[in-house]
Amino acid sequence: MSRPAHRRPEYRKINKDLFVLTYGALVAQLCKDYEKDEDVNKYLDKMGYGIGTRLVEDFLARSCVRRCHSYSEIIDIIAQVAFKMYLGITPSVTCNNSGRSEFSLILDKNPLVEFVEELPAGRSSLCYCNLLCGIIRGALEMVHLAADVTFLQDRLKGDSVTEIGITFLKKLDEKKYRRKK
Amino acid sequence: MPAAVSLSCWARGLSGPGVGRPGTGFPPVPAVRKPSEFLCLLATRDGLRTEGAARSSSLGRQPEPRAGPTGAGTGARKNKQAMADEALFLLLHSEMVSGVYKSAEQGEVENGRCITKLENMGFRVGQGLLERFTKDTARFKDELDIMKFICKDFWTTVFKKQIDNLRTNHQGIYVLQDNKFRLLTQMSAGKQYLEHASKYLAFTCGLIRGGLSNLGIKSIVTAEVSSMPACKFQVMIQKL
Repeated sequence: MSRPAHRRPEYRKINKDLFVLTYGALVAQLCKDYEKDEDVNKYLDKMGYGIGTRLVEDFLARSCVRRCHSYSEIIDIIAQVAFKMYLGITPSVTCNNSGRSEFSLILDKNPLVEFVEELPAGRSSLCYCNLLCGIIRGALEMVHLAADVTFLQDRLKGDSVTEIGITFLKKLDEKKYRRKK
Repeated sequence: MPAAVSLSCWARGLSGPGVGRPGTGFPPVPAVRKPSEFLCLLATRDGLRTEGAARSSSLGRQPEPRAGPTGAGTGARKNKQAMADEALFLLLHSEMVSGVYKSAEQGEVENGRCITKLENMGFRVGQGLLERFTKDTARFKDELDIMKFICKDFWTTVFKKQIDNLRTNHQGIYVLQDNKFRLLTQMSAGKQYLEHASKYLAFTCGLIRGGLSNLGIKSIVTAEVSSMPACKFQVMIQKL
């Protein structure tokens, strides 16, 4: 019987369509429950926060990332390891300010919006992928890094790319810093 | 571990389970089959699908998931089934459940409403998923064929394993038993949290109902758990 050599990594996969469609159903249900876009965005962010706090444990357990010494290393790891592991994409990283605490992740391919053609009418300020922001924020907070994560550009709203902006709020303290993301 | 499959439905000489699908290379099945013949038939179907697995792969053993086109029959072979990480979906699902319940108050009625909400979400997802999976598959011969598709191809593509046991009374009631349901394995392995298990099954019930509705079958799907992570989904077909 031809079993693949490492059964565990294969076994941990689930159909991507399931995840994307479930997310879509969730956003649709939230749009039905809440009238204001801000409420939906806030709720998605909160959910993402809850997911992120748990996801970071899973991430750290499964990836063997080394200690990070700077914010840019952290962002690189988020973009190249974490996104790759969970969504199969690798966003590109840019640094927005010279103080090296504001970064952007540019997603040219966003699997979450695979089945979304356009935002529903009357929902023009809905951040469809706000869950991602919450996840990043929750994960960073679990490794003692406060950050502000928002969508700077969104393809669904007409911009050319989807851009997530991450702003680190506290100064990086070497002593406190045990883990990395 | 391979679970013995109930042969009650197949032992009654049903018309062939529609094996003559394009691409499988099997000849169409004659009307009446002895149980042992069905056993072999399904085993070799699995063998073919996993492309090179030994013919002796016993019935009930989950086909090994392989990267790339596998799983949902001939249709999905053509489109590569992209994979995402299980952790993400599990966490999203549990957040959804807790979110729905948090915004509701205590009480039987509210509990029922939450379950309905989750089930409706699953319904939408099930419809969409099934459309994608069956884009290129052949027509299903009958109800049983559809249920077997759900048990094997659909479940494999979604949860990377098959339903372990399918029972029916031939009057429109099917019981799908999964001995190691993916959404419950991380929760407990016994009787702990049993009272909460139904919340986590509502979405999947909706998934099945949505999938069936897109295949033209109206149904009611309920789930019961006696000991985690095994669970049973009961499908009641509604005759129009």
